[in-house]
Amino acid sequence: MADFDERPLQALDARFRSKRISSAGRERILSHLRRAADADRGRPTRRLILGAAVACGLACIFSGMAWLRMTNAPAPVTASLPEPWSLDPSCDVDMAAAERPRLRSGCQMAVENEPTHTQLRIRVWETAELSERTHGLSVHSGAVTFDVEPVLQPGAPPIEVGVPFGLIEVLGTRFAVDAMGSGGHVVLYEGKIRFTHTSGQVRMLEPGERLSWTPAEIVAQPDVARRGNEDAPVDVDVHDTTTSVPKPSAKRRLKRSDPDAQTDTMLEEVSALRRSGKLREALELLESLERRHRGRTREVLSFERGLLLEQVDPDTACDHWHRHSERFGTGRYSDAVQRRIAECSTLRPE
Amino acid sequence: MTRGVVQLVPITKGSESAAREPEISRSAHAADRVESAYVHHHEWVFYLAMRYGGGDQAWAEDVTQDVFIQLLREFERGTEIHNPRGWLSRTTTNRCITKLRRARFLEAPGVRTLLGIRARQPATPEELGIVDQDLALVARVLRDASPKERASFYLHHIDHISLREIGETIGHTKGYVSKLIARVEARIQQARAKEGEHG
Repeated sequence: MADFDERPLQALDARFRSKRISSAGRERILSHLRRAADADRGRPTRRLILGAAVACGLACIFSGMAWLRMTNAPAPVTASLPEPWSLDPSCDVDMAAAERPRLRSGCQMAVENEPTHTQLRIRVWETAELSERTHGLSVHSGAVTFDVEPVLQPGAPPIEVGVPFGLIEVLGTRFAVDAMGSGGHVVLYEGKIRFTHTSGQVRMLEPGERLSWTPAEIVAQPDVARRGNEDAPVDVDVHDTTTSVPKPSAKRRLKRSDPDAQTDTMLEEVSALRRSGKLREALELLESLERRHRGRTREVLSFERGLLLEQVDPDTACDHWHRHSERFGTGRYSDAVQRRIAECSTLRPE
Repeated sequence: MTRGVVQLVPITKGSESAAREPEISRSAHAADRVESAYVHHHEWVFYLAMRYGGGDQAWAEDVTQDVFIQLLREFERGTEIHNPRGWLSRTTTNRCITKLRRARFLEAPGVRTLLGIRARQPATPEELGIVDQDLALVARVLRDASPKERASFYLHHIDHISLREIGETIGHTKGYVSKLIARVEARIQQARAKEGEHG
């Protein structure tokens, strides 16, 4: 590189250097620069406007959220609810409206219905808004499970659970309500309820059935209940089941070594038989299933069999409840079983 | 013969030459500042573009415009340019390399066939009116050299910039810049030898 002769290169460079930009070219570039500067001058203004618009939008969103939070903000929790509410101390209650308490998920409480001296026990699964009514409660929104004591007074009106666009009449039962502004659904676990829609439609529900409604009408046919909680129907407690009856081929495919799968299949059959009104067949199947199990599962199956017996043969059901009580003592259904035994004693004095 | 020595320095770094050049008023509006810079430096930028463009005036004018538009954007962003001449030299060199590379890419046979276009070929020495044999030979070799070879060669032999600084400008190591310059020199020597044989 050191001994390279630079002279021709320098001569060539001098040629380039001697060339001048044309006056037209010079003016063209200058005017282009001015145009570009003018165009850019508007840019900060546009950016400013855009930034202000974005800031305003964000401010609106945040203020809206703050307003919503204020309107939904839980008011200070009071020590107790007005009568006849009897509150679980651990229940987180939003007393935003004293007449319409807002109960949070997980809340359990008992409500005494004075006219019938009946206790309604409720468990909230999704924040629910409730209010009193003469013969029961109204669920304005949320998901709530009800456990209603049987009304023992002769001629007493049934317990009522009002829902948006409908009314549920109950008499000693356990069911779940999921209500919202646009309708809802009710699932019956035991007993019997009658659903009356504001449109005038009336539908009776059997245990294991489900009913949905909209503001206009009852939209869904009764279906098998499926809930995965401790207040769920018996068959769900044992193993989660599906709503449809398995196809025979599917049943054949089950191996004998898989007792859980067999139990599931049989429980599905029980549900299907109950839905179709074949209660005796369902009872037989449930009995055979009960013999195969021990412990808690057997207790659950026994309780379920008792409920079925009440519908098929009430006298046998009373004997069954006694046997159930002797066998399982203070099990999870002891309260319900004792109530039923007491009811048996009232109806059939020994 | 006078040599135009250019110092290529980072934008924010001051230099001796900056003190000699009219300082662009920071407070002035970006448009005024770039106009002032254009009045003072457009001939310099045009000359550099002419050099790298092999004497193509229209091409050099386009590069000049692009470089000052870029300067306008820098002023608008609030970038402090203490040595306008150094910044312009560096920007013009890089702009020329980018444009030449693009032209070479478009001139590739596959791309030409695919796009159905033809990049503008640089002017031949004859078209530029170079009658001197040796001058025409150097011009021809430089016309065929790659953009980075051309830039490195000019920066080294005309502007006398160190290999390290050239490397910083074109984004290569000192060793690679040396190799680029040596390649062009070797081609010129070969062309001269071939010319001698024929002559």
